[in-house]
Amino acid sequence: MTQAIKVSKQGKDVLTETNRNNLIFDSQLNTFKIVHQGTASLNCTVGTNRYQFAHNSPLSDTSCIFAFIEFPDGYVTVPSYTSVQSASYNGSAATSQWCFDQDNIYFFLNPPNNLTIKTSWFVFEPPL
Amino acid sequence: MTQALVVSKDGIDALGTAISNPNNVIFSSEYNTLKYYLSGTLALSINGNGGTQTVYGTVNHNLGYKPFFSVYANDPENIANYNVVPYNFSFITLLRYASTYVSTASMYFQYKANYNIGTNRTVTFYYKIFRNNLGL
Repeated sequence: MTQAIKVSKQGKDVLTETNRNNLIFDSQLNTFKIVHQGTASLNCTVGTNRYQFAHNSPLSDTSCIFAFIEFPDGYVTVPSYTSVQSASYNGSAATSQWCFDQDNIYFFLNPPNNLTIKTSWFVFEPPL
Repeated sequence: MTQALVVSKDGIDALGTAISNPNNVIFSSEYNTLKYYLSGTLALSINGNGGTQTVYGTVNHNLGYKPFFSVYANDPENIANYNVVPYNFSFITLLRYASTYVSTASMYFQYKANYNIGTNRTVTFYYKIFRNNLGL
């Protein structure tokens, strides 16, 4: 008999439930573990389009990273490769690319004026 | 002694040093996980008269902070697939942009396009909002 630790959602029988979406936790299924979370402010100046900072992952491998960016208008979006769809909500600024390596996160943007953007990132456990 | 609840992968000793590698464990109370909060769909209609239009939608989450989120969309241009938002399908004179934002109270959706087909088109967003605070 296979042994497992399971926690079902309210109203579901943990002993018979087979739909994974009805389980809060199942020890037979891996979880997407967050090993580090960070935030940073980037002072961006006209004429400089590359900004980098350490993501401080505790892992020796390069793993999954999700990043978010807050523009001066206060709205948060997901940075993307091309500028238009990852523009700020009010359209006053945009990122043009972001990427990461084992040590750093890199943002590329052409600020129309000197501005500060904030970023939040989550480092997940699975190696790439 | 640090106490933790750990479920290791098959073949890994949950009491040994191998669990210091998070890739060796199914679950560990040492690590945070994404926690679901709100999931749903939002459809936005845009007319096909050839002009460039932007349509907007809002979903309230009322968490009081800016949460971790993930959004996908069925674009009318690529209806069979789910596209990661934000995206840009623009090409020469064709415009197709989809974006999403969060504030401390709401999630905002934008879709910009210039369809020239005479009939309305619909883009459907699929959103997942998590309880995890972005800290912004």
